[in-house]
Amino acid sequence: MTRNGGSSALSRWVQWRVWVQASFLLLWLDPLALRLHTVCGPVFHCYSCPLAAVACPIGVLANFSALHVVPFLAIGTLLVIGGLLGSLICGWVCPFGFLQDMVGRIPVRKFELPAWTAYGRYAVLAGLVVLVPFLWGESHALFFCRVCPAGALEGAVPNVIRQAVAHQPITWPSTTKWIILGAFLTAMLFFWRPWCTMLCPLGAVYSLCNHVSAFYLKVHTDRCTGCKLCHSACNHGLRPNERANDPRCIRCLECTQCDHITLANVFWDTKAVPAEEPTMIESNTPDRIRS
Amino acid sequence: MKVDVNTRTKTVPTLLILAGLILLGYGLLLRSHPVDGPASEAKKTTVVREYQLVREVTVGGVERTELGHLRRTYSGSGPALCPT
Repeated sequence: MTRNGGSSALSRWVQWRVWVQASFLLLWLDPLALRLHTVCGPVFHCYSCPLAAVACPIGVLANFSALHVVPFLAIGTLLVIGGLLGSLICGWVCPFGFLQDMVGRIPVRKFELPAWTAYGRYAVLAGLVVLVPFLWGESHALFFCRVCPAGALEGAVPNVIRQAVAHQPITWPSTTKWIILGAFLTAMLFFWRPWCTMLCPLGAVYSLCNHVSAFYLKVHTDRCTGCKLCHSACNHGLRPNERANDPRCIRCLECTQCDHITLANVFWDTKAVPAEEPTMIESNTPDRIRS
Repeated sequence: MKVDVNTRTKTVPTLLILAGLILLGYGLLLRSHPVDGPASEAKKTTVVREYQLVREVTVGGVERTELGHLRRTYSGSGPALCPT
């Protein structure tokens, strides 16, 4: 078994993924109390959280849509991060994804979500993040932040606790928020990353970038024996050797347990193969999927 | 279909990243918005940079009026919490 040059060194970080996620969580929880809410972060972390370091890009998109203002900073952030990393952010950096990973580790039987549920993310992005705020403003009941489970968990709950501890009048979140939060906490037990898989609008943006991002999963099909190790390593029921850069992939890189799948990038891939080389393909090409 | 992934994907991510950097630069350095004062001080219009507007929306500090203007929702120190 071989690896593909320097870029595969990143693949070797897989065993440390939990610690990388935990480290980023610390960063997003603003240990230095900087409260840089003028900066759009690249992850799904509610800025209403008393410990949020940066602004949530989806919250900014939704609020700017309600104001009928184009959010250049948020779009720029998403383009840079998406173009560079794709959904690698989801698997390694996002605190809400980390929470779902942790809850998912509770040993309860997991069910697989149908593939079509992934389209829900695009519907949420187009509907609740852009259209509803644009047409009806932020006071609408379906304004994204009003139904966001991350907002409920990271913003509303800590604020209720903080107000209770400080003996201040408590601002209770709406019943809808409690119901959505309860539903997702329950779903996290029975499905791997239900929010990311079905509804996350930020994941929708990054997943679209998976097809073109600088970092990508490369399958060395000439060496693939069809052992399906990568299938069993994938918690989301994907088939990395057939479609490594699937939009549903969160790039947790568990599939790189097989040395024939590596994380590569277009800028400093040390063993680039010439165009005529027949042994290396990007496995998300449609005819490959259907063959 | 056999594809040289390096050749195929290098241009697109480069363009995406460049476009993102241009938008970030524009939003950070050039973009600003006139924001009216709160209803009680409606004539006080200030120019707010986009990054300041990002901060304002995180606490519901700005709203859109029926006339399409941006208006601050508070006077004095801003709200501590997001309205949702």
